[in-house]
Amino acid sequence: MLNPRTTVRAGAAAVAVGALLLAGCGSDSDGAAKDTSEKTTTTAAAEEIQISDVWARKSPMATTAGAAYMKITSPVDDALVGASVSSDIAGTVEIHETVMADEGDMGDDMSTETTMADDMSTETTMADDMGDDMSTETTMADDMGDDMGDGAMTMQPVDSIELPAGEEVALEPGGYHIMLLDLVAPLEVGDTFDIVLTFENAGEVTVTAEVRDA
Amino acid sequence: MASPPDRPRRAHRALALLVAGSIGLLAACGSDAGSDAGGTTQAAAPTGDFRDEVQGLQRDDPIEVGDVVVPEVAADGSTTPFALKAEPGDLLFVAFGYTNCPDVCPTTLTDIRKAKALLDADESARVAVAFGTVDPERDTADVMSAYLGSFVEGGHALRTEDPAELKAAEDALGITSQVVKDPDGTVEVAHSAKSFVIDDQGRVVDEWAFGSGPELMASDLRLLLEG
Ligand SMILES: [Cu+2]
Repeated sequence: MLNPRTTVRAGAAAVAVGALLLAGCGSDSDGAAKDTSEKTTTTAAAEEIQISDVWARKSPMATTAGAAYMKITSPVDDALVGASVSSDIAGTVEIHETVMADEGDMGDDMSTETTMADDMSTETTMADDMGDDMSTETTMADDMGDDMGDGAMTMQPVDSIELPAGEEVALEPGGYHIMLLDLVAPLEVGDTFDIVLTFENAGEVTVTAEVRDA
Repeated sequence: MASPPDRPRRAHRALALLVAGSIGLLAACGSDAGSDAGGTTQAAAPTGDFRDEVQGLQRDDPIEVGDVVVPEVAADGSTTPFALKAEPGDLLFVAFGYTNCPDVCPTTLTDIRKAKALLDADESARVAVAFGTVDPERDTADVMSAYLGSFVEGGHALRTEDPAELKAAEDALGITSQVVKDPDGTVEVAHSAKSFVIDDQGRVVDEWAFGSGPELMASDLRLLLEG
């Protein structure tokens, strides 16, 4: 029988290892844009914000909404405060967070570990809990995004995504995403497009997103 | 297909997070190869990860939803009553969402599409996919059918304009949704991100949290198909 805590730690470790592997992939082409900030030349490589694994999901037929994801590690405390794409790609771009009412912001934060351990102890009563949660429905309109307890999720725009120094922050399904609204054309697998990211400290950084069937 | 005696409820939330972590790892540097020419993504190992126990949520006393009927819509707008029940000997996957959902819904529908691809063809053929809209005003019949069709062939697009009918289906499954139109015209939608596996008796035999991932789903489906 698997020990959930160990498993989760293993998962976290895997992500950490992934982050190490990822460092330096894919985001180096954006040097030009970020040189606006005064970087010391000595340890430039180590000091640059690392952005990797930038992708957008193939947009399904009949929708004009899309989402882009990436992993960001900043050497200093920073925040992602804006994103834009060419108007050939999408009419509006927003930074969004998908909030899982059950678990707060899931997936991008290893601090959920403690919460999860707690969850395990209540696991046996989950089926009953789910039934009871129906009673919260009447107040849902007021509490949208609050704890609905039935696995409900919603997206909301956020002003910024905090990037603590040295910590990999993932924009990934079910967590943060760059929301693309009013897509001009469907995003097709293999397409690429640029996203200009604005950071509080690092300034503007351009990354290239690859469209994946993922 | 009887309810499993004392089958331990597995840590499906923990596993969902673990899967999310694995995806992060697997995606490492994959995009630098520059092309996805093969049409497959690096994130899904083609072999799957088949276990000997169901990893989703199984209730000792399964929810019965076979009496719930929601209209299935075709692109031309014609409707057929669709009961939340699999064909004899088969399984039915059901999730509710909306097509302007760029994050949660396509993740879940991509997961089930990939899960079916991890199964043998004869197994996959026994798993039907239904996706119901919680936002029927924007998700018209043609939109629903095109949307679902871009994930799976032969899927069942469920759409009712009757809020009571939608709510009855959601209540039966223990899920909720809410569509709120802001004065500025933006539409905010909240909906449960769980997905369900229903057997030919209309019993919910497995429930998956968001982010369960194709490997977990495929593994569960194979066990459930074996009965
Ligand atoms: Cu969004």
